[in-house]
Amino acid sequence: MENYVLISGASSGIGRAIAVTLSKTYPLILGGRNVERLEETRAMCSNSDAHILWTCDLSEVENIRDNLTAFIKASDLKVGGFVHSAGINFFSNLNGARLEDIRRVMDINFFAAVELLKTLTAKRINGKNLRNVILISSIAAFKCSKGEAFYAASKAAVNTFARVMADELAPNTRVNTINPGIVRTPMMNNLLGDAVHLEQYKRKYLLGFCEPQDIADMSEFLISDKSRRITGQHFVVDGGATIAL
Amino acid sequence: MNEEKFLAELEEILNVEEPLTMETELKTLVEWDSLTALMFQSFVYQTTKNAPAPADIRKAETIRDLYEFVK
Repeated sequence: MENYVLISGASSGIGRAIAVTLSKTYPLILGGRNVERLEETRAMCSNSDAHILWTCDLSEVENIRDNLTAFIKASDLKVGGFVHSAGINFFSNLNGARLEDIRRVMDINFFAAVELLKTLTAKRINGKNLRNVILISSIAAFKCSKGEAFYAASKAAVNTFARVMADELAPNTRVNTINPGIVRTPMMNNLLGDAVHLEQYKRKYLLGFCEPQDIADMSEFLISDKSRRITGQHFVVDGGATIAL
Repeated sequence: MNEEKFLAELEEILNVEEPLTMETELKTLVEWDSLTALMFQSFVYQTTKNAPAPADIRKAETIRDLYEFVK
């Protein structure tokens, strides 16, 4: 029985690009909320019949474990890799942020990753099959602007969590993060659609904005044996934004 | 707490593949280490509001010995 790679947030953007890239080599579990968009992703993948869909609303964190456990048992499969690409953006100053919105960004960006990893490392559910984890974080975890506090906090939580998990789960399982800057995805369209913001950002992105394929290419490296001695690391893919003055 | 519930809680804390019994020896469990011993101490505190000394936990040899802390 071959080991699958579970990709959350596979219905669009970075998750979709990662799915299409990894589909050349691995059977995939394409995770997301929207079945139609997951089907679109599957159709774009190599060997589309080899990949299966898993629908789950990751904002309902308390249901994730039961949902994924039932799915794994019903499908009778092993999960060898996990890419958490699901995530939402949230832009607000302190006083404008409602607690429910802050909780939502923490739920999807961080707590969902925790519950998914907990389920995939539970030996009674997935044995010791999970060997490789990639959490898609953000450069906001290191450097961010006003209005990004809550999104940045969720990504900083992802980074710290990944570092400790790399230690706890070694040597069986490697855990790394990819920290993108601005990536041209539907989620970033609002930001890039504003001419003033666009001009400000363009100056910082020395090599230009990233495309989803840039993140997918890094994922391909990290999921492969070529990165076999790498764990607990944060890979910045940001067109040079974090080094620009 | 009855033995059945205790075993279920411990199986969760230790993340074991095979079910535990009250007679399982801790030295046979690769999952029983300083981290899970700390988690067990926290579990006992949450259950009984008393935190056992780490030295006392280290003396335990079987699951039944651990059960004594919450019985």
